[in-house]
Amino acid sequence: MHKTSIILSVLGLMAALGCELAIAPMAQAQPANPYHLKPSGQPMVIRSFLKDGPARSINVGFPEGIHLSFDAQVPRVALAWTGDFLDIGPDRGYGNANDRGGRPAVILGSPVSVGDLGFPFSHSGKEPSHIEFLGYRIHPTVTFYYKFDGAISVEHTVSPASPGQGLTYHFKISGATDALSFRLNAAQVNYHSDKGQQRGSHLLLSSDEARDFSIHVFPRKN
Amino acid sequence: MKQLFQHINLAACLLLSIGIVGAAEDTWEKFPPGYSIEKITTPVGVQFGVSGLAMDRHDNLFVCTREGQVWKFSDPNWLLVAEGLHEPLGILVEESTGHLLVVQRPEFTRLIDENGDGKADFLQTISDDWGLTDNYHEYAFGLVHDKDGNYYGTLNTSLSWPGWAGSDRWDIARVHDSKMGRAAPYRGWSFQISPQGTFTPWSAGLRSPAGLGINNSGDIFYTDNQGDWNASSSLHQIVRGRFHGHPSSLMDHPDFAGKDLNSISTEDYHKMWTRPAVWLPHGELANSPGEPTFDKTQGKFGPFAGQFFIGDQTMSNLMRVSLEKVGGEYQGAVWNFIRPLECGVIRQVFDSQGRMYVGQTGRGWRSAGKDVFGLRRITWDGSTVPMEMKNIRLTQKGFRIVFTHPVDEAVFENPENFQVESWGYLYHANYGSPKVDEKKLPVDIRRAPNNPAVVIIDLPLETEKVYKFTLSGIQSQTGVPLTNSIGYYTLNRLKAPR
Repeated sequence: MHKTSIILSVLGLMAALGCELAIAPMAQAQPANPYHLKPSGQPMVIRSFLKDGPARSINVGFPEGIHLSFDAQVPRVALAWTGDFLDIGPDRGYGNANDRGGRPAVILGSPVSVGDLGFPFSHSGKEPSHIEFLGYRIHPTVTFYYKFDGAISVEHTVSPASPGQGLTYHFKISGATDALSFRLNAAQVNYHSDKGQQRGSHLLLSSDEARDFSIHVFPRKN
Repeated sequence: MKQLFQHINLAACLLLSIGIVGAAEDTWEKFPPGYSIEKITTPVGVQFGVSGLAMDRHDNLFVCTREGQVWKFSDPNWLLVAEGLHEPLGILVEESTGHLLVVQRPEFTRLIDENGDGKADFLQTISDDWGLTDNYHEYAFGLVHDKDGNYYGTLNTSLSWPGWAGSDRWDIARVHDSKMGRAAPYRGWSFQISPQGTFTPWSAGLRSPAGLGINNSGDIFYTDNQGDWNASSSLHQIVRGRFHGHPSSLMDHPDFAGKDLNSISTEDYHKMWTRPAVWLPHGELANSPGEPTFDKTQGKFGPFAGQFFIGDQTMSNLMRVSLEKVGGEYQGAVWNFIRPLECGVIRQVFDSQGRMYVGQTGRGWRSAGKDVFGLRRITWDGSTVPMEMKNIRLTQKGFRIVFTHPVDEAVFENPENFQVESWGYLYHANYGSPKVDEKKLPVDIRRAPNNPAVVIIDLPLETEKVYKFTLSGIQSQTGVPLTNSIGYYTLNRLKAPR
């Protein structure tokens, strides 16, 4: 069914049921379709299934017009896109009394690469193990917390890169005793960091450098 | 779903009939005297499918919604505490810290307000040690905690049959052509999470376990929805290691590692199965039960302290359950309590005054009544005792029905006032079960010699049967008519001979 038809059906049904009209669940200015989310003022953080994305997706929308999906299963930025943020209607059943919802939300904008190669960190040249997601902060910044190898803790703040359509990751890593590697697909993205040495798809950092560093990631324009 | 709409149509017809013929003795609508219902105004303009209720020690109500929000209600004010959660279906206040705990599809989460503005700033993952795909049926329900600080929840099976799911990618561990399966680890399990955050799979065989409750003995119960491998909606005691009937979950059981679950016969699964403590007869009392809420109000909510109240999402009613232990296991009786409540009921919580808040949602499954979501508060006036069957107890020869008032003697003049029938259910992979081996039973009825509120019914007893008591013409000695005239007792075990 066409989206407009769905909306009209929902409104008609709700009116028939004597219900108040549904409005968006987020307390921010909204576009006409209440389920098409568009952040304004502050970042919008919303968990849902995501079409062609992770089941444990934490979707972050920025007013600057770039958005991302952070995967809480394998902690990393898995996807990014520009334009409008998210159609959350499939998750919410569009408020329709007949719709159970629970379906993946849909990215509204245009995908841009983040050079995803899976969990990005390795320590002392070993494959990471015991990866554990610990939670996220939404105020004053959007920051994800996770750890790996049992003792290495990562604080990962995400924000729009300036200038351009990219992302900035600010990391604070504790517990490392040896060199760290952060990897992303350099064939898909350009990146630069204020610490460490870039070696193709790997950013190499000493444990001291890893305590506080930033990476700016931009999709390659082919 | 087809059955659901048939039921709703039936309910609508019944409601219409009530409107036409007036208050017949056994109307579909039931409302015990002494109780009043208020509709709480929810935040204006917000979809508010209530999916969890919790109360703090100051009688602040916390509500999580299917739309991913958490609200604080300090009557009459609402404060948005958190949003953007993934369909949370259970909430608790952490006693030691005052933080909120929620179970959402992907994880068990602590909501921490760091700057004191009442809103969550940090969402701390306590445990996410269960599997999750993007299958809509993979809900996570909760929450209860025990005296040792452990938390308990339940995990829905996956909708796996491609004919309903629209894809074969979730078609894993369907057993004997059932509809539900296990597309990710621990679907169909209950779980415990320790105070340190350790996840332990607790019992298997759950199907669609939409709510949990705990009694004053610390025993934990959950309800399940009728469907494949579950003949009717049901109330079960959760015990570590128990198998509640749905085999798909056994894929994650160490004793079944590497085994083909379809090579095991229904008869062999039947031998492993622990029957529900109480069947909630499908289509008569329940279609989609929510959480069992233990009445710990010590009489502030009427004469039913120590019993469970359970709502139903489809029938928009509130049921009442009285349990007893026979042969070391719980079994007991269930009645309707209030019907209808204008929207599906899945969550309840009491405040310190003994008022029950009822959390409601009907979206997706539809529900009887005019509302799609809602929040209501039920208050007992503290003095008006309705005439009800307070409990039904098994005896050596039949049952004792204990009423809330002494029973009018005139009722014994007509044995037809006490109709009793029994039936069984089939255990199989099919979606639900018809009643089987239905019998109308001969009964011998008398008043208990020393208690005018007790009626003794002798009749033939059989295990693994539901006994339905349909009473008519019953009133108290002071003329209070019986509100709910039908009760159902699940007889799993007989009393040991004296």
